[in-house]
Amino acid sequence: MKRITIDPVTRLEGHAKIDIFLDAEGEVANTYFQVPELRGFESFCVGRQVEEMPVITNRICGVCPEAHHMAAVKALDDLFGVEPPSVAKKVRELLYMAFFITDHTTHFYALGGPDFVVGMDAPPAERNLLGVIRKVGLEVGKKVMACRARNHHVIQMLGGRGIHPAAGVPGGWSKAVNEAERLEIEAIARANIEFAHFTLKVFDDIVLNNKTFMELVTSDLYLHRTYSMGTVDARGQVNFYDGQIRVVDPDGLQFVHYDPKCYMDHLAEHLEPWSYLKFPYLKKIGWNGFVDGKQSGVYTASPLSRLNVSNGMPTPQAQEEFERFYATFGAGTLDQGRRQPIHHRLATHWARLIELLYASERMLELATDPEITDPRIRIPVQTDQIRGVGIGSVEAPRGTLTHHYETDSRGILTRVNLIVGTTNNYAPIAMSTTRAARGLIKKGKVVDQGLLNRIEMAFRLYDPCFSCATHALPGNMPMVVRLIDVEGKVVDTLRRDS
Amino acid sequence: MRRCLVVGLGNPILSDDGVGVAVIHALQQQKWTGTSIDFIEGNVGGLHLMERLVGYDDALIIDAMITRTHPPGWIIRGDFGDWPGARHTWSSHDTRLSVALELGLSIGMKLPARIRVWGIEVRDVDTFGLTMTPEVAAAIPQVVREVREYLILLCHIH
Repeated sequence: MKRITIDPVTRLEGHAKIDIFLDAEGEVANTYFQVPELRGFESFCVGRQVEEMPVITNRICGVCPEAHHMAAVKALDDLFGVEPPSVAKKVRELLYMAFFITDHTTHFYALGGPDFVVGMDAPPAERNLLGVIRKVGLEVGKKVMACRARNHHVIQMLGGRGIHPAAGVPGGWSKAVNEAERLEIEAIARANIEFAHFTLKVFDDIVLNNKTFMELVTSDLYLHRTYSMGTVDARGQVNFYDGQIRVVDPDGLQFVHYDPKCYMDHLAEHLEPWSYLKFPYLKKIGWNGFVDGKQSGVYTASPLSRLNVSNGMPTPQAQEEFERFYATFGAGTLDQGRRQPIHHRLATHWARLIELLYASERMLELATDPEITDPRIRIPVQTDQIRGVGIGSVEAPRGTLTHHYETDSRGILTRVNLIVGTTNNYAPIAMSTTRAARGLIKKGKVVDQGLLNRIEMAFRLYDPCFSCATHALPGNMPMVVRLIDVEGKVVDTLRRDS
Repeated sequence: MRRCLVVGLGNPILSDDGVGVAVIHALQQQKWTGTSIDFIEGNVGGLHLMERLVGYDDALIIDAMITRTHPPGWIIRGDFGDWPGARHTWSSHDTRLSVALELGLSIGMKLPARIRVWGIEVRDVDTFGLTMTPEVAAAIPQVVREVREYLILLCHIH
């Protein structure tokens, strides 16, 4: 069997790589993606005081500390059996919207967008944010950086620190919002809404109005019919901060709707010999391999799946975009406003921008909520309230994030389990890269960088985060493709040092 | 007065990866009078790191390095331009620092003309923990001394 190695995957932290195995005829037999293993997180946490978790877990990763901080404080609320005041939940959600806005913006302009804006066949060194700006103008760069700056400012203002927020506490939040801050955030939210519309227009102009791109988006190359997962509010609409988990089947029928605290009743994890990663699947369906369809327990948790499970968006402008999104793909209407799921994985990029608009509108709603400056932001907790188990869940930009802690009666951790956003998507990511590779590599020939990039695109659309803060210097992040024959001899090498 | 930023990169709970942060903590405990030097730590790269550098005349980065050609604790000094593709300054969620700097300059941000780098060869950046490889921990005082001397010369302070 021949083996092609793409190592490491560019623009992904750590040493992620994709191995592509060819059969004797040179056709793709399978692909495996591998990422470095970080060891010992649970044992690092066990024995520590559980209140440390919001600041420890936001150190796991430099990419989404806000999501870990939020899931952790919610797990602490549960552990102490305390319901935070309504204003505390709103302030948490307000910070969380600022985080979503920066994260989704950055993914579109720096990671997902360059393939479309600069071109899938462009040299890797040009397929980045700079390339985007060269193509569409300096003003765009200024807008993107201004969006990041103003939302980082909100995160710092509300979270106490810019990079790793520290304000979350069991039972609430440690810092109230004053009127001057509220006014500032309101103005920022309005600017965000305008920016979200601008970004959707960029997507329209560059992708939706381009026949070639739309053919690619709707092609079989990037199609997977799996179950979809996401958090919905009491009206069944998208919510990033709180709600129930809804899973719909590939036809859009509700499969299950559950309290995130019961995740273990619904999810199980499959192990593969080639990876230390655990592949979550729907327990009641079972693991039937890396395959599509109703009979496979594989599910997706992403911006696309969040839209697929919801009855719509809770804010008016995002709802208009939601309607336009499903109408564009000709999806029929199901009950309660839900639409037939879209399974074209590249449509995730568009779904992400609809979420960007929702997060911006929601930020404005929260910033103009009369309650938001209420100083009664925390309910104090006592050790004797500790219940021994706490589970918290939010939607991270990359999928549903669950923190599960167990402690003794003093609050000393005895067990920690996390299912992070990307973990949900391990199986779909493996399936998508295999499908793209099968469609693109024929008779063992890897023809060019553009082709390799199309395989990477299948990976990148999930916005996977294997962030482990692995630092290795010096050294480029090359992408090496090796064709290795049955004897293990390298017969061809393609390398890019972007 | 020249404004200078000293950044300790890395994850302080990931064994040797925290060495840059440990250097920053040691520098913060020293007395710095009449200067405009800021010390920050961060587990960030790319745009996020570039954004932290805005407004400074000079920047220093202290970070874990893996060259696999030096023993743990080995100190490597240079300019950022020597290692434009250095992985420590990449972010998986935006871009690498060299691209981010070019972007910042192109839209008129004020960024340091020169970025000095101190790298410390490390062994374990894959295990959660607060304990460093002894040779790596032993290099910290030397890096602290060198960075201090460099800053004194750079900023004309005593």
